[in-house]
Amino acid sequence: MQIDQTVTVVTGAASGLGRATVQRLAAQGARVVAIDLAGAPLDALAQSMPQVLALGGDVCSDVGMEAAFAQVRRALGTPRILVNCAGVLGPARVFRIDRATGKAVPRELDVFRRVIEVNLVGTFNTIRLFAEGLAGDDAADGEDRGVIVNTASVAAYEALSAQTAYGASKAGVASMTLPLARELARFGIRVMAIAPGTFETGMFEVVPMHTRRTLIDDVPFPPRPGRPEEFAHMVQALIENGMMNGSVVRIDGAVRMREPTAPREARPQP
Amino acid sequence: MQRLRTTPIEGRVAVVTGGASGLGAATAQALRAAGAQVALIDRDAAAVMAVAAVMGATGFAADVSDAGAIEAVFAQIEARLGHTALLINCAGIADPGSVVRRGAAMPLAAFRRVIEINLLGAINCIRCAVPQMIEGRLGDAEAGVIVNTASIAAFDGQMGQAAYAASKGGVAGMVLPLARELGEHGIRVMGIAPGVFETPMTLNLSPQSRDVVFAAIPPFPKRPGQADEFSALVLAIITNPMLNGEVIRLDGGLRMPARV
Repeated sequence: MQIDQTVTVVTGAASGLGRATVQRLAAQGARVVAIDLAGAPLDALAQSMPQVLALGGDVCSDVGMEAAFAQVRRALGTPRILVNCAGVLGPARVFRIDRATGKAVPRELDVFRRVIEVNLVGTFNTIRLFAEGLAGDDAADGEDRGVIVNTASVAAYEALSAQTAYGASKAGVASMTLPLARELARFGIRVMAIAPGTFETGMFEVVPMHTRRTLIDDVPFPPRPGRPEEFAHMVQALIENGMMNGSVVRIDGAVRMREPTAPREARPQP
Repeated sequence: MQRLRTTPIEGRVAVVTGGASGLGAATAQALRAAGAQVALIDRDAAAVMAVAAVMGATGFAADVSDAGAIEAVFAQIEARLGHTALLINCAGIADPGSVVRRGAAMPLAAFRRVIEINLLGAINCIRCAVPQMIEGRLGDAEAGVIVNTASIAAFDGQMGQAAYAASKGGVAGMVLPLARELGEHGIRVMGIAPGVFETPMTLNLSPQSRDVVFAAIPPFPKRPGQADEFSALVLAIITNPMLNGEVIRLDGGLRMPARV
């Protein structure tokens, strides 16, 4: 798939992996639409990159994204590249200790629901609208008409404590890659996912220090967290390589996440 | 052999979701036969009460994705039977559908519904069961076992299974973090990924979808799985204390093709 002049939608575009992806694809000539929650980070992106169409919106909202995709089609035409980067970590253990009684009680379900909504339902939301836009096409000549790149995580395979919802949401993203590729093949759309390990983003900065240290120390090579530009490099490679389809690529410096071996008192308490 | 006896089923409180039919009913039956006190949760009120009465279990009608309803059910289980020690999550729906059908995108609500029941429903029951398992733990003994039902669609989902595969992939993906988190409390967490099984979920699919699903024949045995083969694995998991943090395929060697 050619990137130059192609209408490209990136979610979670205002920071981290999304922002790096916007910058790289715009530099390759893509006509980029940057979607993120309305706010200062998105405004800053719009100001620094006037060639990008910045749209404020919540990826979990069906009508919100329907309106956003309609606006994109009117303003720029049909998107043929979609990169889903919107995501939240939302760490939470499945129970907590009630202060009054000292007893274990269930964590509120909505804490888990929010993570699943943003990371998994939100990812599918843009996919269905992107695919709808290309449903009139057929891939009779065997060339791709569209490419979707989703962001999974190595947490899809080895999530840590308190990452039940995050691990589940990212495993969901990984697992829908193959059925989506199988189904959207008739429209000439390829579907891929990237599973980043430890990357230097705003999301990683909220991980407790001792966990962060373990995660970085465990990376065999290179012995450092990944850089968002390296994620964006992978995105470009997947877009340009027409044989990549239906699978999840780890980009992690060979790390396999393990529970931090911090002293007990340093662990997050439930 | 001494160590194997440290995980008894007899007398323990076992909660089975989706317990009124299919994999859940077979599992409840097997746990009951092994001497567990069984609580069934199912959204089909009439069916769950009837099945519970037949097998000598306690039935509860509730939607697993409803936070308040499930909290209330677990409070009643604790009051009437005691602390939950075993949780088997079998509640699930298939609801296949195309991402784009006749040029129109699938409504987001259709995708969300599958995620709510299959994935958030399991999380909902886990968060309610775990405090009881912790409360009921005796010393350093095993406090409980959680078995979640994933699917081979988590690994090789077919066309029309985006939502189902996503939900079951999520179930598979949370097994390890839960095992890591709950290990210090003596709780094991496992998943089973069944292949094609003959249950009401698959038998009640539209004729078209059903033909596609049952056309996938495993290398051996060359037939769909039966619910009692699923419940046999659940019991094997409960009684083997070294099984933890893993998803076991139960599929006769089947790998699902894109379509048939």
